[in-house]
Amino acid sequence: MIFNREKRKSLISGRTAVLVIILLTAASAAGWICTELIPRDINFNEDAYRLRWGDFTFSLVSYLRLYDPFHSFWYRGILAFFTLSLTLCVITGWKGLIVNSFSFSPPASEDEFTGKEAAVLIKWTDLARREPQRGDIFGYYEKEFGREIEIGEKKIRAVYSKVADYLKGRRYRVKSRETGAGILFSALKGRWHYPGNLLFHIALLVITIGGMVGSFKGNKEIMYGRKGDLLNLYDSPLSIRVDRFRIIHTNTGRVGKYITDLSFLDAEGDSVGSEKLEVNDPARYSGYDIYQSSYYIDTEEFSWALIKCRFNGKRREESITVRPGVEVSLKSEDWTVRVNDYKPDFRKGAEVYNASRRMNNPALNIEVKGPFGRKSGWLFLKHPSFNSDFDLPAEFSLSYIEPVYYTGLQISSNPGTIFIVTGIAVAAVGLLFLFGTSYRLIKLRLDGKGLSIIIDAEGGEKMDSRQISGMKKDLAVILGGSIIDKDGEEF
Amino acid sequence: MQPTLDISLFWIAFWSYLASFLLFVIFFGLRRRLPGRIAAIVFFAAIALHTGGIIERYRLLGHFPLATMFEYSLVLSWFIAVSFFVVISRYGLMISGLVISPVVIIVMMIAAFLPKGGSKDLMPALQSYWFYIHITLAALAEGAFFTAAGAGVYYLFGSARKGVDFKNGEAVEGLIIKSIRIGYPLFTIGALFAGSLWAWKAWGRFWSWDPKETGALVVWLFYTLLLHQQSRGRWRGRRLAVLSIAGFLIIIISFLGTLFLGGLHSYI
Repeated sequence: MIFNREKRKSLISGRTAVLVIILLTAASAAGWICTELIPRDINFNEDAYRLRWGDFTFSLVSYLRLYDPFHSFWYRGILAFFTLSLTLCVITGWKGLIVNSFSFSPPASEDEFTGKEAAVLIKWTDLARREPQRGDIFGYYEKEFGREIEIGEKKIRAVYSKVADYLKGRRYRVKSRETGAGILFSALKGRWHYPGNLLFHIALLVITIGGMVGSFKGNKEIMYGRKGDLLNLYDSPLSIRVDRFRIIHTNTGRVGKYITDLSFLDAEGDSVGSEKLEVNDPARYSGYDIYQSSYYIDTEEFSWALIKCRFNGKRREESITVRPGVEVSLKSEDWTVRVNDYKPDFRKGAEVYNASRRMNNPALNIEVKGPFGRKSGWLFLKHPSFNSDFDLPAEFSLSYIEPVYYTGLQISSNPGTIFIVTGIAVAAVGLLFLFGTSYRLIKLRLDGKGLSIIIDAEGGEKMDSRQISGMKKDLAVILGGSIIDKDGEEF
Repeated sequence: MQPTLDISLFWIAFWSYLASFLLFVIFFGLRRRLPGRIAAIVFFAAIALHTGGIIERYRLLGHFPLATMFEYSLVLSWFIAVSFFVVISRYGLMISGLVISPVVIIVMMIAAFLPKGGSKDLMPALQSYWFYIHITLAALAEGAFFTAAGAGVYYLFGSARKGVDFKNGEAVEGLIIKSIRIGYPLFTIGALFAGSLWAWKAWGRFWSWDPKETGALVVWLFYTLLLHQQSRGRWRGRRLAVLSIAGFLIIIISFLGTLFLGGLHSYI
């Protein structure tokens, strides 16, 4: 055995559990701060950071991996300690939790009551003198009279029956045994509380294992493709073909959805299935999960554009569709139009350039050729007032540009997924039991002198004084009522 | 620009909460029933206005207002305010308004500094049923934790003035514990589990160590620690009260962290 009994015991103690959680909380908080303070690119700009921070600081940051603390040895070490402690806790604790919850027995002997202060103590003498009284009637009579009057075996059984019914009515399970002096009995409620606790701990362990499996064995790759492109899956002869990619805009012009239609191809290139992919709706194929991750617009190319030409004085206009590298003839005039350049986000400094990959200010540079020679200029989709003047008896404007979109697909395989999803499901059930039920084990003794109740404070949730006094009042009413109503005599 | 009705209701509710807080202070100082009753009435009126603001925003946007940090704060503060109902009905602690109203005001003040614009169109990543499960449960849980913190402040005040065994002390301690016991499973299932499952569906990974995720983990570990100690019969009374307030501060840091640190959850 790696650990002897003593070491095992110390590892599963409540104190160790608290220590582990404190360590993990502190490490997570430290990691949280580090990720925000320390740039992640220090490995790529080693010289610059070494110069800025000095050798010692740089080495320390590198050694402790403070730029990526959650994958550092120290964080993983704490996580391993947490996992070990949790594992030992589950291994050593499961039997006790299950056994205690499902198989309880009445108190073995009177000894279980000796030396313990009863949470509820009702003496028959108190009940005998019961009358409407404000405040603590039992305390009052006990103080006033302090008498002890014994009752017989038959009546003890009758009282037991009343108390047991009361407890069963409150969803307690009751088990009893008779002794020479009276009846000892136990009542248990919330027996799923501790199994819920156990399930939750097991689930956390399973989730942690799933996370580790995913971290070490999982793969992730992001691929971009346009319509017709084939994307090969890593470590597999299989591939994906992008059949279509479209962006659906909302009425306000924002991106509402982006959707990829794709086909799965086998090793021979034959289609074996197809899927529609969008954000929040991934596909699964042969152990790979495929996600609609992102998209981008090609800054070099556009698909097609619609240009409107209005001829001055002739009160007519003509629309032409232009494509990259293709010269298009106008029907009305002996002119041709071709596109020289395209910028999805036009900016002009010393020279024309693209400010981003977004269609913020799409512009086309066109060349018009005719009997007048060649004229060229820029047309803007969103700012037509800035269109170039071609010095021709016609005005050109840009009506629409269809960009070339590349769909971004994330292809991943994570063998830890099954662990994590199962763990989450089990943990949710565990939490339901753990926080949806309250464990109560109460031990009762009924004898000739009275009824005493001891509430198990060892593992169970403590009953507060309101709950205890509530139970005391309920029992008083039941017992008092039964005595007066049924027999009409005093105990 | 003329503010929309939801924003106007937000401001009126804010000032009403502030007024009720001042009345609760007077009630606490004078120990007279009347200011307490007026404070409670003003508080309930503020909740009604607050509710109206949320409904109006829902009507304007066409989706439940949880898509921005402002909207989250709006709903979170509403949950905290509603907890006053629960406390009054279960514990009869009118004085709890003295600590619940400032907590609501703090969260609403944070909301007041956030951009209040909203969009009818949810970004693609938010178009999922997980959006409602994840964020609603997280807000409910944080509301419960904030209520615990408010009760913690009251406990500290009470025990400082009248000793640890002050009147209602046990009930207030019970309120702290119960609030945490309500908040913890909601936070675990809503913020962590539902969040992880949604991240898996949307981004293909359960966990990204994004600032908000790490913040949520720290919050969860903190309350795990608290409950662990609870089960061992430790950390009760004043210590529990102090730690419930510390939990509130950690949540606020986690909340603000997303604003300043960015990450996957920075939907401002």
